[in-house]
Amino acid sequence: MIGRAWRVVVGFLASMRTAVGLLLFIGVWSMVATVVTQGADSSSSVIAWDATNPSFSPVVRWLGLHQAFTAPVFWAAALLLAMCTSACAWRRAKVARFRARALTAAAAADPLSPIQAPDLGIVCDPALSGQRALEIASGALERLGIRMRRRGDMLTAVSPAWSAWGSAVFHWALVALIAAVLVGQLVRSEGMMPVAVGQTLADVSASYALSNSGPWHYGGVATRSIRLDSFDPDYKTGGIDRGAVPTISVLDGAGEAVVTQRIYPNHMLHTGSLAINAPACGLSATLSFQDKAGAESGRVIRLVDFSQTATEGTSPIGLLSRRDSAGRILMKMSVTVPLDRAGQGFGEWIPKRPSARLHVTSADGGLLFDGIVRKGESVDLPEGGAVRLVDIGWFSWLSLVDDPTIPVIYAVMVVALVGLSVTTLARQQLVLVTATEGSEGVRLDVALRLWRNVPTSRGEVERELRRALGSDGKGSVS
Amino acid sequence: MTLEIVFMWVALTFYVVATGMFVFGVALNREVLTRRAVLVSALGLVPQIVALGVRWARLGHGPYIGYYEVANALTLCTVAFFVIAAWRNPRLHATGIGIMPVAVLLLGGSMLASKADFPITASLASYWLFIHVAFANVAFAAFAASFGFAVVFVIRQRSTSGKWAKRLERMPEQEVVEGLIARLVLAGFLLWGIMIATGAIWANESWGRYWSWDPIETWSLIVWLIYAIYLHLRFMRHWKGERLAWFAIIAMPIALFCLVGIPTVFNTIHAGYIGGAEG
Repeated sequence: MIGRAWRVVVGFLASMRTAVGLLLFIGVWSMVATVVTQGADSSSSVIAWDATNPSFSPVVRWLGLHQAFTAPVFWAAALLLAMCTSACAWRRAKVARFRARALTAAAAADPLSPIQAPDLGIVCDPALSGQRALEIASGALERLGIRMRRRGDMLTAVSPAWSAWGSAVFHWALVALIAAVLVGQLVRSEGMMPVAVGQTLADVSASYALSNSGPWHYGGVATRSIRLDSFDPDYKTGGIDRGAVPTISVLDGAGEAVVTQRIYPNHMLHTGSLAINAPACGLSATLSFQDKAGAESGRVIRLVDFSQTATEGTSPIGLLSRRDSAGRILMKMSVTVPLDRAGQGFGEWIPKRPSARLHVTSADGGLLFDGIVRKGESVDLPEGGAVRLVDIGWFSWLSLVDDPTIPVIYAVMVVALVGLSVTTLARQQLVLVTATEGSEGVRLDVALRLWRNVPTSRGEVERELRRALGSDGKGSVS
Repeated sequence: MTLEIVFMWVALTFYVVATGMFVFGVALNREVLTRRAVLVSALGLVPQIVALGVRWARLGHGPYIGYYEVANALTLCTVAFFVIAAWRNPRLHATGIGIMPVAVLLLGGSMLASKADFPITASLASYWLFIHVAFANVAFAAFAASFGFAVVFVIRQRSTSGKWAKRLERMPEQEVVEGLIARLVLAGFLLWGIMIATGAIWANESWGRYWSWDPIETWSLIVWLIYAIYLHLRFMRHWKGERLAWFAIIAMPIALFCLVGIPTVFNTIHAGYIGGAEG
């Protein structure tokens, strides 16, 4: 019973109809996904798409097409395709083993012995000798694109045994690739870390503004930290403007720089499985809090993103909360930096007269203070004490990806392409020709297997040989 | 009009003439016309290479950016691929009737498009650009050749004993042409696969993600899957004949749409290479 069920399952997975059906499904699903707006159901772009397509919206939402490539339906199809590919790879391996054995045996065939069970037997023109028949056959096959070698009394054109393994290797590599991608999703960690110039942040989840870690991620190297050493808002090299370019150091547990590098497009920082990119930047405001006696009680760095739609050109990243010793919120503060005007918009640089707008509210949202503080100036806080704007500088949004499966994925891709190259380029052919002289004249025996990448066909070979050897209309066995 | 554009018009003229010669050569059963049409196609490559070379020297980068350059490079590879195939196997001359119209449409379209100069931006400044685009061009050339062979196959198949069969009798047997279509699809499948793999590596180096389901990435995968279905039907289900040839005919425009259509229809991070915006 179990054995029968197993055979049914394996038969289904190994079925070409299943494989083609799944390829078709994934292809059509992907096509639809490029037409449907992708994103969370609550995102504004998705809501807008639903509003403009009310008739499709219920189906699209039910199928999960707004997150098409993380939808359970898609993953189920991809997983099933991986299982199908495994079954196909298994079959390809069996075929490859069979062909490789046949090729090896043909390559070692005794040139003096007649071919056992020939695929073609052609009775030649009686005027021809055995040697002449072989010469003519060699020429005819060469015209069809099969170059024959003479080995004793035998003509041979036998591909090397490895040529049979291309397809199997390709399919197994695809299985490994799918597996590596799946494992990658489980162990991978990626996130966006905002770091101001001079700031050093530990590579822990609290340092990230956004992060996404797979369940098997090892949690990061707790002792590793990232430092933004310097920032060039207009870096040029090789005659190309690279844009705003930060110089980043990755520090080990002892605070020693493991690697220091400028980061710009196509010049990411790599160390171990960690890759750091710097896709965006903004401004930072360093604030110094002073107690009632005027002594500095602490410093904070607040970050702002450039925003051409915001009133003064920047929008705050998060709110700063001040709490009392009991943990109650005393006030909330948001910080923006008014930018210089540039044409119709704002100049995305540090303003000529650096300042920050402080917007302070109480815990229940009542406005306590809203005003601009220039660099070096202080304002009194409602709770007592004061806050001083120390400096306006730069910060970088760093994109950190920690994925140890990348080298494996690269390696598997290379293996897959090598396998596919062998499948595409290497011939899989087995041609052996012998001539036997008997009472009826010369008979040409041909072992013929044209499996892959041969520029002719069995029918064409037979016709051409019969024509060349003058046996048209005469009996031939095949 | 610059010398570069003049050369490009000359190339287009050669290709139009070659296409006409292929049509008349096959229709009138004049082998000499089809043979000379291959020569005219090859001659068209000369001014096109000169024009692209002049542009390359002037801009400091190859034909990678903007519809004009991309379509031009695709045309060049398609015609070069065909000329080499026809030179190696003269029995394939007549397939130009299916391939050269593709080249004419592509180059004609590019001549009507903007020919603005786009500099290499920071996001495109990588040696991966050359590798990635080169494989895309050669893969498309293989698919375009499979398309042309399939067109000829279908014409002959529909007229096994009719006039067209006679006009195309110098072609290899249908069985052999069918095998050649499959080999071209297999070659294109390999080259397209390398294009995807190099693109993934470049994306990882540039953006930190080897795959982000961007529309052009997704469509390149779709094209690969479509040709994977073709290969499975051909080699595993042993499909043969006209229906498989139609498959190759329908698949090629999808590959073309992926290369030049997607960036103009969808919002994609690859928009930079076709429109000159930051990619």
